[in-house]
Amino acid sequence: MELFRLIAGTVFILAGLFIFGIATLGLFRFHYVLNRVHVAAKCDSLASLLVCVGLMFLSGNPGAILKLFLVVVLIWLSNPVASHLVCKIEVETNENITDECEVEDAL
Amino acid sequence: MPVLLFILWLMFNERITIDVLIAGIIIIALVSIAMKMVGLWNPSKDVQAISRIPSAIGFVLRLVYEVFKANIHMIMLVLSPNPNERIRPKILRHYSNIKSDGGLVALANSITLTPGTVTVDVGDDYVYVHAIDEYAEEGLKDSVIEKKIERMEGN
Repeated sequence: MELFRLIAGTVFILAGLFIFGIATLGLFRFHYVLNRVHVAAKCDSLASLLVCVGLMFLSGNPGAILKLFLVVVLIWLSNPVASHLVCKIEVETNENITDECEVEDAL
Repeated sequence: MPVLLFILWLMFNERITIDVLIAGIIIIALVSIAMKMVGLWNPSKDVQAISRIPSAIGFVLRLVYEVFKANIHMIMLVLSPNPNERIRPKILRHYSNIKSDGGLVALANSITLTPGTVTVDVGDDYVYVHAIDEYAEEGLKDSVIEKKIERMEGN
Protein backbone atom coordinates (compact mmCIF):
# COMPACT_ATOMS: atom_id res chain seq x y z
CA MET A 1 0.00 0.00 0.00
CA GLU A 2 2.81 2.35 0.98
CA LEU A 3 4.63 1.49 -2.22
CA PHE A 4 1.50 1.96 -4.32
CA ARG A 5 1.00 5.43 -2.86
CA LEU A 6 4.59 6.37 -3.54
CA ILE A 7 4.39 5.18 -7.15
CA ALA A 8 1.01 6.81 -7.85
CA GLY A 9 2.11 10.09 -6.29
CA THR A 10 5.35 10.14 -8.24
CA VAL A 11 3.62 9.35 -11.54
CA PHE A 12 1.06 12.13 -11.07
CA ILE A 13 3.66 14.72 -10.02
CA LEU A 14 5.94 13.82 -12.92
CA ALA A 15 3.04 14.09 -15.39
CA GLY A 16 2.18 17.50 -13.94
CA LEU A 17 5.75 18.70 -14.18
CA PHE A 18 5.92 17.44 -17.78
CA ILE A 19 2.89 19.55 -18.67
CA PHE A 20 4.34 22.55 -16.84
CA GLY A 21 7.49 22.07 -18.94
CA ILE A 22 5.46 21.93 -22.16
CA ALA A 23 3.64 25.11 -21.16
CA THR A 24 6.92 26.94 -20.63
CA LEU A 25 8.25 25.66 -23.96
CA GLY A 26 5.06 26.83 -25.65
CA LEU A 27 5.63 30.33 -24.30
CA PHE A 28 8.79 30.55 -26.39
CA ARG A 29 7.43 28.80 -29.46
CA PHE A 30 4.43 31.07 -30.06
CA HIS A 31 4.98 34.66 -31.08
CA TYR A 32 1.94 36.64 -30.09
CA VAL A 33 0.38 37.49 -26.73
CA LEU A 34 -3.01 35.95 -27.40
CA ASN A 35 -1.43 32.71 -28.62
CA ARG A 36 0.94 32.62 -25.69
CA VAL A 37 -1.86 33.05 -23.17
CA HIS A 38 -3.33 29.75 -24.35
CA VAL A 39 -0.37 27.67 -23.29
CA ALA A 40 0.92 29.85 -20.47
CA ALA A 41 -2.26 30.08 -18.50
CA LYS A 42 -4.11 26.94 -19.33
CA CYS A 43 -1.81 24.00 -19.44
CA ASP A 44 -1.24 25.13 -15.86
CA SER A 45 -4.82 24.28 -14.95
CA LEU A 46 -4.29 20.61 -15.77
CA ALA A 47 -0.73 20.54 -14.48
CA SER A 48 -1.62 21.98 -11.09
CA LEU A 49 -4.45 19.45 -10.81
CA LEU A 50 -2.06 16.58 -11.52
CA VAL A 51 0.57 17.86 -9.07
CA CYS A 52 -2.04 18.30 -6.34
CA VAL A 53 -3.45 14.82 -6.95
CA GLY A 54 0.09 13.46 -6.69
CA LEU A 55 0.61 15.29 -3.40
CA MET A 56 -2.70 13.90 -2.13
CA PHE A 57 -1.44 10.38 -2.76
CA LEU A 58 1.87 11.12 -1.06
CA SER A 59 0.44 12.78 2.04
CA GLY A 60 -2.30 10.27 2.82
CA ASN A 61 -3.64 12.55 5.56
CA PRO A 62 -7.38 13.32 5.16
CA GLY A 63 -7.03 16.94 6.33
CA ALA A 64 -4.21 17.64 3.90
CA ILE A 65 -6.15 15.98 1.06
CA LEU A 66 -9.16 18.23 1.63
CA LYS A 67 -6.96 21.31 1.77
CA LEU A 68 -5.20 20.36 -1.45
CA PHE A 69 -8.64 19.95 -3.00
CA LEU A 70 -9.44 23.52 -1.95
CA VAL A 71 -6.16 24.66 -3.55
CA VAL A 72 -7.24 23.07 -6.85
CA VAL A 73 -10.67 24.72 -6.66
CA LEU A 74 -9.09 28.11 -6.00
CA ILE A 75 -6.64 27.76 -8.90
CA TRP A 76 -9.39 26.65 -11.29
CA LEU A 77 -11.53 29.63 -10.32
CA SER A 78 -8.82 32.30 -10.40
CA ASN A 79 -6.71 31.15 -13.35
CA PRO A 80 -9.36 31.88 -16.04
CA VAL A 81 -10.01 35.31 -14.57
CA ALA A 82 -6.33 36.26 -14.75
CA SER A 83 -5.89 35.10 -18.35
CA HIS A 84 -9.17 36.74 -19.33
CA LEU A 85 -7.88 40.09 -18.07
CA VAL A 86 -4.64 39.78 -20.04
CA CYS A 87 -6.65 39.02 -23.20
CA LYS A 88 -9.13 41.80 -22.66
CA ILE A 89 -6.42 44.41 -22.21
CA GLU A 90 -4.64 43.19 -25.34
CA VAL A 91 -7.78 43.16 -27.52
CA GLU A 92 -8.91 46.55 -26.32
CA THR A 93 -5.58 48.35 -26.64
CA ASN A 94 -4.08 46.79 -29.77
CA GLU A 95 -5.11 48.87 -32.77
CA ASN A 96 -3.67 46.50 -35.36
CA ILE A 97 -5.21 43.34 -34.00
CA THR A 98 -6.40 42.22 -37.43
CA ASP A 99 -2.75 41.71 -38.43
CA GLU A 100 -2.41 38.99 -35.84
CA CYS A 101 -5.69 37.17 -36.07
CA GLU A 102 -8.94 36.95 -37.90
CA VAL A 103 -11.64 39.05 -36.22
CA GLU A 104 -15.16 37.86 -36.94
CA ASP A 105 -17.11 40.52 -35.13
CA ALA A 106 -15.63 43.67 -33.61
CA LEU A 107 -16.00 44.25 -29.90
CA MET B 1 -24.85 27.94 2.98
CA PRO B 2 -24.20 27.49 6.74
CA VAL B 3 -23.68 23.79 6.04
CA LEU B 4 -21.11 24.65 3.40
CA LEU B 5 -19.33 27.00 5.79
CA PHE B 6 -19.37 24.30 8.47
CA ILE B 7 -17.75 21.78 6.10
CA LEU B 8 -15.11 24.37 5.23
CA TRP B 9 -14.48 25.03 8.92
CA LEU B 10 -13.99 21.31 9.60
CA MET B 11 -11.67 21.06 6.59
CA PHE B 12 -9.45 23.79 7.97
CA ASN B 13 -9.42 22.26 11.44
CA GLU B 14 -8.65 18.69 10.34
CA ARG B 15 -10.16 17.24 13.56
CA ILE B 16 -13.58 16.98 15.18
CA THR B 17 -13.53 17.74 18.90
CA ILE B 18 -16.13 19.40 21.10
CA ASP B 19 -14.32 22.77 21.31
CA VAL B 20 -13.83 22.97 17.55
CA LEU B 21 -17.52 22.24 17.01
CA ILE B 22 -18.72 24.85 19.52
CA ALA B 23 -16.38 27.54 18.19
CA GLY B 24 -17.44 26.64 14.64
CA ILE B 25 -21.14 26.95 15.38
CA ILE B 26 -20.69 30.36 17.01
CA ILE B 27 -18.49 31.72 14.23
CA ILE B 28 -20.74 30.37 11.46
CA ALA B 29 -23.83 31.85 13.10
CA LEU B 30 -22.15 35.25 13.16
CA VAL B 31 -20.92 34.93 9.58
CA SER B 32 -24.36 33.80 8.35
CA ILE B 33 -26.06 36.76 10.03
CA ALA B 34 -23.53 39.14 8.51
CA MET B 35 -23.97 37.57 5.05
CA LYS B 36 -27.75 37.84 5.30
CA MET B 37 -27.44 41.50 6.28
CA VAL B 38 -25.33 42.42 3.26
CA GLY B 39 -27.44 40.23 0.97
CA LEU B 40 -24.88 37.53 0.12
CA TRP B 41 -27.02 34.75 1.49
CA ASN B 42 -30.65 34.24 0.63
CA PRO B 43 -32.13 31.19 2.45
CA SER B 44 -34.87 30.65 -0.13
CA LYS B 45 -32.25 30.05 -2.83
CA ASP B 46 -30.54 27.31 -0.83
CA VAL B 47 -33.30 24.79 -1.57
CA GLN B 48 -32.94 25.55 -5.27
CA ALA B 49 -29.18 25.12 -4.99
CA ILE B 50 -29.54 21.65 -3.41
CA SER B 51 -31.66 20.44 -6.33
CA ARG B 52 -28.85 21.48 -8.68
CA ILE B 53 -26.18 19.36 -7.00
CA PRO B 54 -26.52 16.26 -9.26
CA SER B 55 -26.25 18.26 -12.48
CA ALA B 56 -23.40 20.30 -10.97
CA ILE B 57 -21.42 17.12 -10.32
CA GLY B 58 -22.02 16.05 -13.92
CA PHE B 59 -20.82 19.44 -15.09
CA VAL B 60 -17.60 19.29 -13.07
CA LEU B 61 -16.77 15.76 -14.26
CA ARG B 62 -17.40 16.75 -17.86
CA LEU B 63 -15.25 19.87 -17.38
CA VAL B 64 -12.31 17.81 -16.11
CA TYR B 65 -12.68 15.45 -19.09
CA GLU B 66 -12.79 18.37 -21.55
CA VAL B 67 -9.71 19.94 -19.93
CA PHE B 68 -7.79 16.67 -20.34
CA LYS B 69 -8.84 16.23 -23.98
CA ALA B 70 -8.06 19.81 -24.94
CA ASN B 71 -4.76 19.84 -23.08
CA ILE B 72 -3.54 16.84 -25.06
CA HIS B 73 -4.40 18.70 -28.26
CA MET B 74 -2.53 21.76 -26.99
CA ILE B 75 0.55 19.70 -26.09
CA MET B 76 0.55 18.21 -29.59
CA LEU B 77 0.38 21.72 -31.01
CA VAL B 78 3.31 22.99 -28.95
CA LEU B 79 5.46 19.97 -29.74
CA SER B 80 4.74 20.06 -33.48
CA PRO B 81 7.71 21.30 -35.53
CA ASN B 82 6.14 24.57 -36.69
CA PRO B 83 3.47 25.66 -34.21
CA ASN B 84 3.13 29.16 -35.61
CA GLU B 85 1.99 27.88 -39.00
CA ARG B 86 -0.42 25.31 -37.68
CA ILE B 87 -2.50 27.67 -35.62
CA ARG B 88 -5.21 29.93 -37.05
CA PRO B 89 -6.13 32.39 -34.33
CA LYS B 90 -9.55 33.92 -34.61
CA ILE B 91 -11.74 36.14 -32.48
CA LEU B 92 -15.42 35.36 -32.57
CA ARG B 93 -18.63 36.17 -30.81
CA HIS B 94 -20.48 33.17 -29.45
CA TYR B 95 -24.15 33.62 -28.66
CA SER B 96 -25.55 31.54 -25.87
CA ASN B 97 -28.96 30.68 -24.47
CA ILE B 98 -27.76 30.96 -20.90
CA LYS B 99 -29.56 33.76 -19.14
CA SER B 100 -28.45 33.97 -15.54
CA ASP B 101 -25.29 35.83 -14.55
CA GLY B 102 -23.95 32.85 -12.64
CA GLY B 103 -24.42 30.59 -15.65
CA LEU B 104 -22.60 33.02 -17.94
CA VAL B 105 -19.69 33.29 -15.51
CA ALA B 106 -19.52 29.49 -15.33
CA LEU B 107 -19.56 29.31 -19.14
CA ALA B 108 -16.86 31.99 -19.51
CA ASN B 109 -14.65 30.32 -16.92
CA SER B 110 -15.00 26.88 -18.45
CA ILE B 111 -14.28 28.26 -21.92
CA THR B 112 -11.06 29.73 -20.60
CA LEU B 113 -10.18 26.57 -18.70
CA THR B 114 -10.40 24.38 -21.79
CA PRO B 115 -7.20 25.06 -23.70
CA GLY B 116 -7.58 26.49 -27.18
CA THR B 117 -10.16 29.09 -26.27
CA VAL B 118 -9.93 32.18 -24.07
CA THR B 119 -12.85 34.38 -23.11
CA VAL B 120 -12.06 37.98 -23.96
CA ASP B 121 -15.30 39.57 -22.84
CA VAL B 122 -18.75 38.64 -21.58
CA GLY B 123 -21.93 40.45 -22.58
CA ASP B 124 -25.61 40.02 -21.80
CA ASP B 125 -26.17 36.98 -24.00
CA TYR B 126 -22.82 36.34 -25.68
CA VAL B 127 -19.21 35.58 -24.91
CA TYR B 128 -16.40 37.06 -26.96
CA VAL B 129 -13.85 34.33 -27.52
CA HIS B 130 -10.34 33.99 -28.89
CA ALA B 131 -9.88 30.53 -30.40
CA ILE B 132 -6.46 29.29 -31.41
CA ASP B 133 -7.38 26.94 -34.28
CA GLU B 134 -10.25 25.16 -36.04
CA TYR B 135 -10.30 22.35 -33.53
CA ALA B 136 -10.91 24.72 -30.63
CA GLU B 137 -13.50 26.60 -32.67
CA GLU B 138 -15.44 23.41 -33.48
CA GLY B 139 -15.39 22.46 -29.84
CA LEU B 140 -16.93 25.79 -28.95
CA LYS B 141 -19.71 25.59 -31.54
CA ASP B 142 -21.24 22.39 -30.21
CA SER B 143 -20.06 22.40 -26.64
CA VAL B 144 -21.43 19.84 -24.23
CA ILE B 145 -20.38 22.09 -21.37
CA GLU B 146 -22.88 24.71 -22.44
CA LYS B 147 -25.73 22.20 -22.45
CA LYS B 148 -24.70 21.02 -19.01
CA ILE B 149 -24.83 24.58 -17.68
CA GLU B 150 -28.23 25.13 -19.30
CA ARG B 151 -29.53 22.02 -17.60
CA MET B 152 -28.06 23.11 -14.28
CA GLU B 153 -29.77 26.45 -14.70
CA GLY B 154 -33.06 24.85 -15.71
CA ASN B 155 -33.95 22.92 -12.59
